[in-house]
Amino acid sequence: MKPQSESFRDEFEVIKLHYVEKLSKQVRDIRTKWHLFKKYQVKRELIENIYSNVHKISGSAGVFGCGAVGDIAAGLEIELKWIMEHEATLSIDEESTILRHIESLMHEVDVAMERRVIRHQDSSPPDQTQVPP
Amino acid sequence: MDAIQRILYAEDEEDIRITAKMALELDGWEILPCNSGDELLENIASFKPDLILLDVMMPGMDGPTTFLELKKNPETARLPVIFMTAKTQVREVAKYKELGALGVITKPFDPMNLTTQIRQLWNTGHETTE
Repeated sequence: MKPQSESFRDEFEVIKLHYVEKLSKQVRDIRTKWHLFKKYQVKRELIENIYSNVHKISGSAGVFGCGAVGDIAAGLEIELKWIMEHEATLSIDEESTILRHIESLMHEVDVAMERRVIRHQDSSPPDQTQVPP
Repeated sequence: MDAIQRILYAEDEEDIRITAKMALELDGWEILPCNSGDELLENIASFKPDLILLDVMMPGMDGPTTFLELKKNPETARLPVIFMTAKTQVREVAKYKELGALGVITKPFDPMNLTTQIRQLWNTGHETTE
């Protein structure tokens, strides 16, 4: 029988993989909502929703081995909070900065996802159905 | 304060909730995870926790509001509470430490180190209340 801590590590690896998959969808959702926010300026609800999702990523990504994602999210969180608190109309430059952060977030998530998939494939048992040459 | 046996834990993010529960159970602690502050308050009388872990930002009743609700009730006012929050909000939680929270654990946390962090805060609280 595996020691408890070893079994924890195994289960944790599965949770990490699951987390990164969800993260990818979450970040794309953030980008869509940001575009909607810019287009319609429905300030309160959308920006609060974006902020809340970014805040979650900022706190959780590092737990699951995606520290770079968490760091970018933390920077973005601070900027979004400022917008919420000041109900500010953003300049084009400020809008571009936020969009750039969201794009960086997406890039880092893709990198994390690729890394996880490769690691998962490496640790999977070999495909028994393949016939040797 | 006696040793920790039962922890009531509110966190809305499922992956974090599952991971923290698994990590804390490695030490033999009994954990009851809840989705929100409301759910935590519903379970407090039956679960009888020794310690409460509260995420700060949750839909429904958030951590700080839950903390204030606990303080209002004489049955729960003295229960030790530890907040868990993203590092960007630590400054805001400092005021709850002043009101009597045991401490703050910043997220992201290392699951393998979580019990140590909790023990440290628990022991510090123990020293200061003796």
